[in-house]
Amino acid sequence: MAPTSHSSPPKIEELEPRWRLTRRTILRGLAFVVAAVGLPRFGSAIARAIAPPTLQPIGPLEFFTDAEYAFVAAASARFVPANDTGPGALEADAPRYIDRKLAAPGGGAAAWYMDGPFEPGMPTQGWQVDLTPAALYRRTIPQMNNAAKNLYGADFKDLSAANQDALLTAMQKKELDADSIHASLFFATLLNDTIEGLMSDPLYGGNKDFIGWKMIGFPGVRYNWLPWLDHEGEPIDLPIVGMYGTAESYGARMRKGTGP
Amino acid sequence: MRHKPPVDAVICGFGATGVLVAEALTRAGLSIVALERGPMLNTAPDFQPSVMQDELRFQNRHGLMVQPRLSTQTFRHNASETALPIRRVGAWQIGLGVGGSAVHWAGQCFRYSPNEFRLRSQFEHQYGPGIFPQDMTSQDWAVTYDELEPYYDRFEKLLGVSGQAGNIKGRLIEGGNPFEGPRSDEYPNPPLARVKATRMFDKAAREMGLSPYPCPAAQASRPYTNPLGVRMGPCTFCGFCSGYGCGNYSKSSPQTSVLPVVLQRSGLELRTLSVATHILMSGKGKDRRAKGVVYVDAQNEEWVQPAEMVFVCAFTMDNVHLLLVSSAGTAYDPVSGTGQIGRNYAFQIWGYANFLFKERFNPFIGAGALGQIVDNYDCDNFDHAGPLVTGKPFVGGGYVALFQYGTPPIAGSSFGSGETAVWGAELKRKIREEYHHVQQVQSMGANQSYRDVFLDLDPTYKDSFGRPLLRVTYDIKPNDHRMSNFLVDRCVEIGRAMGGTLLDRNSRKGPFDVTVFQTTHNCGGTIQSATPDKGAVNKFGQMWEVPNIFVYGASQFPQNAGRNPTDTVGATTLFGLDEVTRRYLPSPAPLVDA
Ligand SMILES: Cc1cc2nc3c(=O)[nH]c(=O)nc-3n(C[C@H](O)[C@H](O)[C@H](O)COP(=O)(O)OP(=O)(O)OC[C@H]3O[C@@H](n4cnc5c(N)ncnc54)[C@H](O)[C@@H]3O)c2cc1C
Ligand code: SF4
Repeated sequence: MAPTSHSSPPKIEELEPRWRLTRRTILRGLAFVVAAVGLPRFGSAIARAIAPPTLQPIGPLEFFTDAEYAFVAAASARFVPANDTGPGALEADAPRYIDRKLAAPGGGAAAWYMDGPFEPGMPTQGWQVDLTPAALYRRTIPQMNNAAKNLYGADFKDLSAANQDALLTAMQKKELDADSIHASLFFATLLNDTIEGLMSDPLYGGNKDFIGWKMIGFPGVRYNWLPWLDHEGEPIDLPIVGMYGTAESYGARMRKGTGP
Repeated sequence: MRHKPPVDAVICGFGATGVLVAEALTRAGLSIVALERGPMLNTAPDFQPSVMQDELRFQNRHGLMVQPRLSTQTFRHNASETALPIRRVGAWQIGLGVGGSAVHWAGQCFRYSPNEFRLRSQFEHQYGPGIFPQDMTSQDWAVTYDELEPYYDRFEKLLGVSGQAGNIKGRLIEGGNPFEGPRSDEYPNPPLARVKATRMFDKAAREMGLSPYPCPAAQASRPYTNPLGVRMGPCTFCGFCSGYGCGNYSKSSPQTSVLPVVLQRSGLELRTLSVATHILMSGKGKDRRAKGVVYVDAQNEEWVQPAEMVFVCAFTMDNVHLLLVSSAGTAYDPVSGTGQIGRNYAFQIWGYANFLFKERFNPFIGAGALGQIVDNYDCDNFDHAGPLVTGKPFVGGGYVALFQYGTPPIAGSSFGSGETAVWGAELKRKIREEYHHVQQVQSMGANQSYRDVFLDLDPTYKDSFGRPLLRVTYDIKPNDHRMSNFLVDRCVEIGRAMGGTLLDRNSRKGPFDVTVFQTTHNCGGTIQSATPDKGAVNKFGQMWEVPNIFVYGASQFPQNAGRNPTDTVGATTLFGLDEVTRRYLPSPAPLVDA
């Protein structure tokens, strides 16, 4: 080893390299995805989770059956309803976002640790069921439709708004949980996914026409807010933009003929 | 297993500390290999605005963080429970890829108070030994503030920290933090600009007789060139900061401070997508040495990288994990209280109170360290036996602050969780009416160490390399609950003085919740100590039991302080590395006599 000695801590200027480059450092690093795809043992799952999204036009349902979609659409309309203040999660296509999320490899759990044994644990120990989010939706929607029929005589989608709210409340308050029925976990997952679908960049399939961002008053992703730092918090009057531009450009690319 | 040609040193993990090791050792002329389990990441193309400003991908889906599929821990509250795997990213969010967690950190870059380094003696001296519960194992550090000061200074200059000095060589400066230890110099950059909310906090705190100061920010407030010649541009408050990489060369990270220089040096070979799975050990007792590191590369091939020295720079959790799975050092046994690896694990008790204001804030504008702070309630800056503390006095404290980090829309639309999650017309009303009018006053509470809070290997669950997962046994104890309640009471006072209406407060009651993100300020497990019976490493980061292994990062902290760790992580690393280059390289031996 080449010894170096300092009589006192080196001054900051001495941190400059003492010698210059002789050979380029070998950089094995590749870009995000390309490299990660080559990881058979641990990489592919991770690559899927973090791979850059691509803008794909909305077409037929990718994961849900029509019946499942009807349930999710009805629930999303209760989670963030359309009312006199404007459209809600359903109008923003949040359910289409969820459909696409669950259709992805791994059913929404590609990057999770899903080895057994599975034990119930405490709520503060987190997700401990042997189900991916996709499997949780697939299994729980019929269970909740059964509960709706038993309690109110019809599928969830056909209930009155008040009865839908009562059923959702029962799910949230763990009143419908049973051995193989994870109603409260499903409730939390569905609410979370609905908000993601309302508020994420439209390229993921939801937040149609920036309905979510208009609702919250978010002018979009901009890189420089310096001119507005001393703006006293007043509303900023700029057209909303996402990573791919304005509502028009998303509308044209994601929903052919269904632009705003 | 195939062998690579031997090198002088191998670094496991290429984040905040790993790049500092590479800088020091290449400067000393050594040949080194750095192993990083994640990909190469750089400002261009990885952090560009068209890539980065994606809340779903980087916050909700943890795009820059290590995913449990690759690395996770099991968790239980105490030894009578069965630990279960953390299956999704939860309470902490550890980095993956070159730069580590210091790519997506918030950049709040604080020094510790001088008395933090002598916590046990200071509190015993002031309040009597009785203030320490029997099971509390918090202890003095091996290093002192005065020893670290030049290295804090150096680290802050490498990072281009923007801040307001409060104490230069004993002279107090108006507008800075009057409680800070004496600094040898100003911050390299002036503090960040303020926004309405931080001005309101400042005014209210000042009127209450407190001493607010701007958060030392690892975001450049102006164009800056650091001592290595690496340049940064001024922060534009894009608001996609904590949780994201900066596309603007404005947030200090390994990419904007050290990497551009170090990657040019001929002594370094960086191998990304390479997971260090074991340290290769040999010998017994006094002759126990590391011979190199076993790692798995992107082609799934296992390699031996022989080396004279091993630097463990893999963040707290993986530092401890790597040592335990390699039997490097003696594992901690909470029953007998013997062994050092895994002892004194601690987290951060982060509390807050949310307030509704009539003022409007545009909360999407922000930067990770855009905030105002008071230190009046940290460490021993206040009388723990005085009138402010109702009930039994506690050890520790923390800062109280208001940050405007930048709240993107998904985070701004989630209110409550579980049975209290808000939905329906009320959720819509809150989204429409509260997002622009809510501010949070928060406390970064210390966390003491305890005999039965520790890290070890899980008996059941394994990772994809067949290694047992690291098991975390952790809960918040009464002392720390009292401290956190005290701090959140102070948050409430300040928020009210600002004119806010309290919406909710959280001082972390009940059992620790591993599902809710709090901070990534995990610490301890390979703590530094003055003598080998009290810790795993000496004050230079050298293992007492294996003198050619050096461990850097917050795993050296004997307990957690009431503030963010990274300035102290950087300073302790630079302090250790100086001694390594000065004394260890010429004659490899223990740097402190046992
Ligand atoms: C969201 C977030 C916000 C934060 N904000 C702040 C803040 O405001 N202020 C502050 O002071 N601190 C903050 N921190 C903490 C800060 O990021 C860390 O203190 C700092 O990065 C620690 O440096 P490190 O070198 O120990 O670990 P890291 O920087 O995380 O580097 C460790 C590296 O080791 C790699 N690695 C791990 N295991 C292996 C293995 N087996 N083989 C190969 N490579 C491996 C990892 O991939 C990683 O790149 C924050 C952290 C997070 C996640
Ligand atoms: S807020 Fe500033 S430092 Fe942070 S990512 Fe944006 S430009 Fe970079």
